[in-house]
Amino acid sequence: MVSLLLGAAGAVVPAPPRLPASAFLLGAFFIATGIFQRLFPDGGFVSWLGGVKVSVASMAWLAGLTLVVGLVPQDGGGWYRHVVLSWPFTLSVLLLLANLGLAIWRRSRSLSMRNLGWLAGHAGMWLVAGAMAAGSSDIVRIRIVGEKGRAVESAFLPADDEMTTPIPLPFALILEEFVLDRYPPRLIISTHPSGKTMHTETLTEGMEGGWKGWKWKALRFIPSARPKGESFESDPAGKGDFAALLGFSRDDGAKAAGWLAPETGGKPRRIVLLEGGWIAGAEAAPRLYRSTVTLAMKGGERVRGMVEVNRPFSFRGWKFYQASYDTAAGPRSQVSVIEAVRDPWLPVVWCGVGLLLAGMAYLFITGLRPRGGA
Amino acid sequence: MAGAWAPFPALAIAAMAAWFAAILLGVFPGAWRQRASAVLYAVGEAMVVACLVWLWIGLERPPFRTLGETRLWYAALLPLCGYIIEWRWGVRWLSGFCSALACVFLAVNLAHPEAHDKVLMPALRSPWFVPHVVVYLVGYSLLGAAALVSVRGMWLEMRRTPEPGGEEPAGAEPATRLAVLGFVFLTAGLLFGAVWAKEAWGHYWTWDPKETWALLTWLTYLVYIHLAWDRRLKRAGAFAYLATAYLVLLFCWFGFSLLAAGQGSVHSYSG
Repeated sequence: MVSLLLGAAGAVVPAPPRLPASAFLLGAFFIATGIFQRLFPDGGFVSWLGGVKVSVASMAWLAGLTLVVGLVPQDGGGWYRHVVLSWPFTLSVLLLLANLGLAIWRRSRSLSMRNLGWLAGHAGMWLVAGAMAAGSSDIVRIRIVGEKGRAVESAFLPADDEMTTPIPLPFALILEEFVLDRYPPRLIISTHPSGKTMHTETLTEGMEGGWKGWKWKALRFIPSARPKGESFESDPAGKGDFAALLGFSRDDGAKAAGWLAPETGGKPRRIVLLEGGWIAGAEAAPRLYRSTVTLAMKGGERVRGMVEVNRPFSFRGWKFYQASYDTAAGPRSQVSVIEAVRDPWLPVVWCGVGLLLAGMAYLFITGLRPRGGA
Repeated sequence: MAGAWAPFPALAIAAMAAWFAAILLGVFPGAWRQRASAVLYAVGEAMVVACLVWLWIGLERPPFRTLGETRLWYAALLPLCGYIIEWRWGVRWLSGFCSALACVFLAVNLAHPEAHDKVLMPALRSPWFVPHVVVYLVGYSLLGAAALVSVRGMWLEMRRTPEPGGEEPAGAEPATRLAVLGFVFLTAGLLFGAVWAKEAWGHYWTWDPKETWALLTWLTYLVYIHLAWDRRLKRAGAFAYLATAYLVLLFCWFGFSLLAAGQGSVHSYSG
């Protein structure tokens, strides 16, 4: 099944995407609507099916099903818990495509400027809905668990959480480097046990402050630290997370001190509990995840690329996305999970999006012109 | 409030005062009062825009991440839509209504100061972030204006006592015009979001709760446009539809995260 998804058995060559069989089906569906429109141009069932009443009915039907998705958690069990995989949903999309297709054929008999604007929007909608529906089974999505310095030659389907069924790759992926860059860490004072944040401030060495009768001072701040017993020391490799030693004191002489560090290395976030139900903690939000990878082809060709969130790396019809990493290890992660996606329908969807936007631009300029003239 | 939000309370109160005075002056006839009212609307608008600029510079990122930030954008864009529509189509009372609604959004922000930071998670660091949100907020503003026109239309409809041969009140065309413009921006926002999601994760659409409600909102207005094109709705029906559709939009904006199905959305905002 997996090899079928990826092409010929055993040969998972990332060739330029070919037109899949579903494209012929979708094309045949569109041509069939054209033939019906041509055979029965006026009146009767075909006119009704391509009319605005059915448009409204199919959109309302789809809206009703979308409302169910919006209200009921989609976690399986009963059609209303997996609506988008149900028959009512498939039928609503088919009805929408038939209705849109017939209307497009009917309008395309006269290519006036007004009709062109209308056609752009509706053809765009048809292409987007059709390509997403027909193409959903053609999209190949696999997960490659890249390990630093090691050539990985197999991948897994995203649903295969246990990674029981490896899929051979036509190339080896070598993770050269994984970078987790964080924003400057912040000291957080919050209430206990609700965790509601009362005060935040960027952590720097020597910083002093006060809150609700407490005074604090950052006695030490290590931007890149590694654990050493119960405390921390500077990480010579510069790959560690921050750590800060904070001292607290109160006017009546009460004192507290402790190390603050983010949740990494499999250890929970270090916090300091203060009297009166206050907690001091620190966190540094991630700014960037970046994997530098090399793809080594069987023929000896090697390609190097960088993968970031929002910046996928493209190679021969595949796109490589930054999906995950070893969260327990944080910046020291030796693992980066890369998702490789091959979507042969991409140009069709882009074409549909462009047409739909053109149709919207036309509607923006001219406004709505109700049936039968102004 | 501290940091980038420090000037907000003073500017917001000044903007609200300017708009309040503009509404009062606009109620009374007289050329100089109308001119003064227009100037005060512009002054209020400039203050909210100044606040946004200050915030953008101070936070060192586009201020779209929290609900408070989007409320501020709405407070700037909604009156702007009102002025443009009033100028273009002569819906005379709209600036006042839009500015009053913007004051509510400013007041909510004054009452709920947030914990603000400069953090922008990696998924939001995209060139699609600004166009996606700005286009959506312009769409929300236009559809908000359509809802205001509709609620006023419904109110007038209820007070009307039909007389034989009497003059028919204005139709739903202004509201429909606004709904169509808003729908155009809503569509662009939806498409920009899908393109962005494809670039970030390789999916156009994941049925994330916010996406689901955004699709429902879009379909609701799409149905309206088809009904209006087919002249299926009478005046009162059109007003009632647009006012109800805006409730769906508001739920998509604020309410969906309250649902069990809304938990864990990538679109959940803080604040």
